[in-house]
Amino acid sequence: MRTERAVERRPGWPVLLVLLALAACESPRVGTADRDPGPPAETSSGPRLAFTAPGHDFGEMERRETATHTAVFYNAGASDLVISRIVSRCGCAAALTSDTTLAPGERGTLEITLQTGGVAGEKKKAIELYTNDTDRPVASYLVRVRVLADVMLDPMVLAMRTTAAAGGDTTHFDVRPARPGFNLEVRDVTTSGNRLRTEVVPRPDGGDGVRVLVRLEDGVTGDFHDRVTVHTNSPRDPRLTAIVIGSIRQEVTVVPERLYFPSVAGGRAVTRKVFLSRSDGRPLTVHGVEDPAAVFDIEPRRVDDSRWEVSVTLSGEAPESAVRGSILFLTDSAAEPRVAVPFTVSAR
Amino acid sequence: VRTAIATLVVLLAVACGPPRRDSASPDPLPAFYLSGEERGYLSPCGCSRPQLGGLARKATAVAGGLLLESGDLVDGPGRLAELRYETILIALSEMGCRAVNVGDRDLTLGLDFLLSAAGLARFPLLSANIVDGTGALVFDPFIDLAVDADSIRVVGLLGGPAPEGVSLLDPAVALRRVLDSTPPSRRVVLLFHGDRDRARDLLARFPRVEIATYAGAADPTIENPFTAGDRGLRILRLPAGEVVEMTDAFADDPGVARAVETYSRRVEEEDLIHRMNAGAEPEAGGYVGDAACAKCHAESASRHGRILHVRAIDPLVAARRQADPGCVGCHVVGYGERTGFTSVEETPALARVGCESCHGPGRDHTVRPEISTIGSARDACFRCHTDETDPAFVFEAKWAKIRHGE
Repeated sequence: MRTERAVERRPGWPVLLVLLALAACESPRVGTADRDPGPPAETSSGPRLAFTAPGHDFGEMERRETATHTAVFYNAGASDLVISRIVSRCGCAAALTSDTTLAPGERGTLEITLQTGGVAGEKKKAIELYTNDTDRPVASYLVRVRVLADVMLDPMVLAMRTTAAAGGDTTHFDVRPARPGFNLEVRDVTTSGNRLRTEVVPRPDGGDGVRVLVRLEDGVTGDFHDRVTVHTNSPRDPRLTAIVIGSIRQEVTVVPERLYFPSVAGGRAVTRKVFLSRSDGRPLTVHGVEDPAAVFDIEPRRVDDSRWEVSVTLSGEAPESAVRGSILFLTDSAAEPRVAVPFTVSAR
Repeated sequence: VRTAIATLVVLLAVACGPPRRDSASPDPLPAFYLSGEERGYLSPCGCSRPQLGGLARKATAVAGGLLLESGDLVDGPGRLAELRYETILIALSEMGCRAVNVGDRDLTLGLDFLLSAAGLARFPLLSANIVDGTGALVFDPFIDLAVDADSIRVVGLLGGPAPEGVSLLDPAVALRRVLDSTPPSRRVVLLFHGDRDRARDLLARFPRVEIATYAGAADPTIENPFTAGDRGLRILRLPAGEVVEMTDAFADDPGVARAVETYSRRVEEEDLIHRMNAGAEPEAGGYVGDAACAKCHAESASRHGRILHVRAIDPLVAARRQADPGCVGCHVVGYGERTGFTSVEETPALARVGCESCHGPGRDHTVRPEISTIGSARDACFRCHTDETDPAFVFEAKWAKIRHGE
């Protein structure tokens, strides 16, 4: 009997399959919605927001595209559900398209508008609905999208720290095609300042794209925040920029470069450590420390041949007005026999 | 058969049930607050409402409570990050924080810097697996806290990565070492700065750990392992898993607000607004300012002039953050590029969010108007109107106010 009934239904299957196939092939960009199996079984004696799906995957999208999706949820609790707030991550707007108060078993909808923006890569964004459910006050709905691009930089932010004496610090990033079939050509690499030199070489792993070697030349000491711009043949990504941050220090490296002492009550002592070393590993001797302001207890200690740890302690009541000055470290470095570390002691 | 299946289901349910130590420690842990991953975020800039986060609000929110920090107080290296790290340590001391775990971004400041900065804190920096070149632990591996009738051991661990010159012991090995020396009566909370799967693995392998945290998620997770999310926009009240949003419902704590003001003075004194200005070569010839654009695009400039963009620097000036290179990028025209903003005093016409903030530099276009170097600015909004700075931002609603040039 069952077989007969199945045979009787068979003529309708191709139509159903075609419809399902059409639904599956439909563009995911506009007007999609979560499956709605109807109200779930009651899961809480209080209010309870239950999405019919944990989230939505928008799939692959181009940059600067917009798509919408409707998330469906129910009040799976036994008392009124009140949605007090919706929090969504940037580029992803969410708006309730149903009432903010749902009776038990009542259906709600949330329209999500996703703007992919200008940055490629996989993105996950959580949309949070804050409710009066005291056990689970926040219900999250996860949105995923893979934003396509022709070219990507890996990594996009590079950190460098070197001393003027050592110079020549190097790092690198890879420029890779991010879209299958895109034939990447790097036409030029430019830098924002005169501290960085670049060289384009093949990727050592033999992969598509190139590796950009970034070399930090000697320069003015201090922090820097430079950019390396890669010019490509992509009409979508003609220029991509990697950020290079770091600092150039003197032959004698001092950490930290300045000392700060906050105002402290009740005479509590604050001890800051100062580390002096030579980046080239040659021996360093600190043969004296001068404290012209005479406000600190200073104890130098040799850690090893090339490294010193100096404890600088401020004790007693904080001064009535801020005290500024420098502690001088006397070293055997020919280039830097007197290393000054500025300090500030906050007022009481 | 039905009975057998039912029995099997029951047995499976028991076998797969919570493996936690509830039978050994039936009482919930005393309440504490979890925060962390500030990544240098000190206070809201004030240019939109509502803005979440801020150290001074957090101090009010946790007043009198036990606060633990999961690490990554800053985003990366550099002098500005150093100042922010010191400031956050001072602020956390003001609010009675009991321990701070060391995160991988913190480590980019260097061990020496962290050890020096630790002198500013009235709590230990924790890590049971960061070791120096000799294999010795650099920081305290744990701290024991007496809370109510309980004694809690808070352990710090880093999942990685570690920068050059720093080594990490395997987190599981390091945790095993700590637990082996932990008295049976002591309860254990793990501040784990690593991904969620690894934290789950540690929870599964070490049942003595009652609560673990993890890092790297933007939003809070209110089940074990927990996270409060990043930027300090929210904190968690544990073990209940209650999310507390840092809204302006929490008044600024005066002591912490002073610490943030002091930070601004230090940024000014060190002239970081100039020292950190990359002076990059701008596109399209450089910046010219709104007045040049208005000569031909008077209507667009007029519509733009009605909105808060033109006064975008004001909240920074009010908070004395107008010389903070980490803030001005979203409040001025072209900071970090030649011909762009350098300071309020030197380039007052660029001390606003102007036409070129969104459309890009316009000098070439003013010289040869027939060649347009100006493109659509739609994406530019999201550079600054992020969830942190403007959680209520809806493009369509805002665009309706400034619609121009279509």
